[in-house]
Amino acid sequence: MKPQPASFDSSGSVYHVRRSHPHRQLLFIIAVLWGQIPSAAQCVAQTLTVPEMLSKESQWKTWAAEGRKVLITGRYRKREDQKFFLNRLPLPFLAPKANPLPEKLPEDQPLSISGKLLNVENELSFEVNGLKLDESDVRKCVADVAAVAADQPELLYEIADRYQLIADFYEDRELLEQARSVRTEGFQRIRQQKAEDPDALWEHAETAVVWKLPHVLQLRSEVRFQALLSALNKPSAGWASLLAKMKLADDETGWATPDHSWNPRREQEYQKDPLGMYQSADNTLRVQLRRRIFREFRKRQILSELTSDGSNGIEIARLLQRDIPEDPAAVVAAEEKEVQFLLQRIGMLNRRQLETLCRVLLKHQRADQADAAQDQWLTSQEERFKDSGLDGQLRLADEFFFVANTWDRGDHQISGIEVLKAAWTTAGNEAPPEAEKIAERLKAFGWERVQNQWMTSEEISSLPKTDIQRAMREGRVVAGMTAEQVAGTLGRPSRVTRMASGKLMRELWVYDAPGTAGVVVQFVRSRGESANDSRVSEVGKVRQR
Amino acid sequence: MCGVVIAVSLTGLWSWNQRRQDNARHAWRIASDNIAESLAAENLQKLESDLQQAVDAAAILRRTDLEAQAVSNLLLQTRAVNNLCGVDLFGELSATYQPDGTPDPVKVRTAEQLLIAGWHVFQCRILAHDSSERVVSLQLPVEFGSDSLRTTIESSPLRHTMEAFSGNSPVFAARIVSCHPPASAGGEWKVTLDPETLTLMTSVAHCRAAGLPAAEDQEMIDQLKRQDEFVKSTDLESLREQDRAHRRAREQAQ
Repeated sequence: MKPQPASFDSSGSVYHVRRSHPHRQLLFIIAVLWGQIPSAAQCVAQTLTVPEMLSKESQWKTWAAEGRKVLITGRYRKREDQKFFLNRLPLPFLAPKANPLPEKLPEDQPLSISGKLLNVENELSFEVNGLKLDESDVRKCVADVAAVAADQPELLYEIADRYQLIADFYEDRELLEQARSVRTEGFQRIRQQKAEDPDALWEHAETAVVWKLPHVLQLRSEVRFQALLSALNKPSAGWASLLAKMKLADDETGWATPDHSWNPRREQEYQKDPLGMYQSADNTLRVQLRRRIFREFRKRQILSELTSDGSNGIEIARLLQRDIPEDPAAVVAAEEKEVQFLLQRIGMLNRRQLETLCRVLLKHQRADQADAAQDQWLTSQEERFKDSGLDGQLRLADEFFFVANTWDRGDHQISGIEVLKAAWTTAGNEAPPEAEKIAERLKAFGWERVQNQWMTSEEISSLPKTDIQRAMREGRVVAGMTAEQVAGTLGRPSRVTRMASGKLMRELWVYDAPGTAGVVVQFVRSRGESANDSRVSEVGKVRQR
Repeated sequence: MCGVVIAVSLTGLWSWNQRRQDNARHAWRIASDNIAESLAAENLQKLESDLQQAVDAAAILRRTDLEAQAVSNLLLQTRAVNNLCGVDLFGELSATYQPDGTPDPVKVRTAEQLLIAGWHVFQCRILAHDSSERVVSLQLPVEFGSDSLRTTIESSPLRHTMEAFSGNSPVFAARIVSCHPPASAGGEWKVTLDPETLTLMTSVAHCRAAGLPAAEDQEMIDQLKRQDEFVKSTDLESLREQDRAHRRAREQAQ
């Protein structure tokens, strides 16, 4: 391969190497560059701004000695004879006679001045070779902004930073405003860019504070609101974190307080342009708008938990009622879901579910439906327990009493009693001890088995007063009772005393132990009769216990 | 001659006495067998006769041992059941009351005559009487309006029985000697039992015959067993004799 000579591009700073002899080429390049360095420093003017010049003031004398060419950009301040000065730079510029400074040059006119520093008897000045009037920084800034591509709004921040430095240096209010305006422009463009990303938008709202944008808190609140609006169009996955951020944001108040003053007119306005409404709202309305959007979020969030069959509708309604009481229609709708679910399965409901169903129906003044549901449920229970013998009868009776007691349904109390009576008959054949318990339960309802039939308390009251059965029911002992009846009424006596004569056997049952009736029951029978034939002849009090 | 006559007489008397005692011993044995038969058959009329023979024989034989005493008690017991009073104590006293709530003295006398005519059987608790260590009260919780009944008996055997069966109700029979109406409203009927007629019941058959539920009441059956053992192990006759001596001494003092 033959060695290639080196060649330079138009800028003179980038080169290409032709492939010839590699070592020779490398030596040649080094030699050329070495020879070029000092001449480049002397021939190419260094461009410096006034602040840069000031920062290098210590080198000015060196530069003067070297005859270094410099291009200074700055702002015109004043002229004195053949000299003029730039703003904030303590260096006189010696204007060339061939190219004099224009007359009536306005103060702060941007200038680009080329030339070199002179040191005459330790007095530094700048010999001007060339002078050009520049555009104002505001105009440059506008031009720079115009050159920024639409998809690179971050560059606007850089432009704003750059011009803000200049504005600060010259205390240029106009430029400062321009820089701020550019930064705001950058913020708004990024806001547009992130409009579809709620989390990014929320984070972006914070930069308004970082950049100290005008009306920063208001702006941040608007962007946050926009983020929330944007989130409403997204799947619910990110809602929780966004809501959490909203709750944590100290200045985003109002979301937690129910707002009953929200009216249809406002709602209509909100539906039309929620963000516009927020941006133009005063603080009071903003609070209401935050509550409005929270309601929507929370409602969607809660409703997302509603099962497809509506089986948890009442729990959902409870959450809705708790968190967004301003929306009673949503509460009712959720409840209705579960009501329908329960009504479709009425026969399979347990007591708690039936209670729940009826509670909701009664709450909404649907008493007829509640009654019908109870009736239907009991019919199902009858079907369910019809072949379950005594246990089934007892269970069915309990279900009737449950409905009767819970919803004050006297008709079902009567049905329950009838089932209990039937159970008593069954128990008489299958489990006599159970029959006694059932009789006790019926007694509590005012029903007793008297003269081989069930009677109510009223019916029993109408029986003759001497009736022994009645006395037994009332816990009394009366003449004519057998020993068995007395024992059934008062229990066994503390002791028994007997006196026998040729005709009669008299037996005295003494109830004198603590807690007993404190009575003496006298039985009498003929000597020839058996003990079973004894009958109570008298009942007296125990004199001393 | 006189001596021969005296000798012959004494020999004859001795011989008669020997024969009498032999007969009595024979009669005791026979009666013992008959008593068992009659008791098993619950033939109380015949039992009374058999027991009387046995008691007579025991008297000839001068037997005062516990076995003889038990036979004597059984005779008294049988006699009591065979001769129960025709009227009921409570019923008869109740019948003496007038519409104003006080006993009619005439009816009281009539009642007393009827009540003392036979035996009464009691099963009740016994309480020591305040006035004498020999006297006991029967705890009979009956009332006649505002009046109550106090039944007493001066009987060491019953006192011993009370102590032996503390907490239980002994079963015994006795005759009434006197009935005194209450002195005023809210007072006590004072009924006194005859200690000579007192007999502790020991037989289920006798109790049943008296109308007591001895066959079905296990408590009563157990009590009768305890009383039977008590009678067979306690010298009640000596206690009775002491009571008699005490009464004689008191009568002489009066």
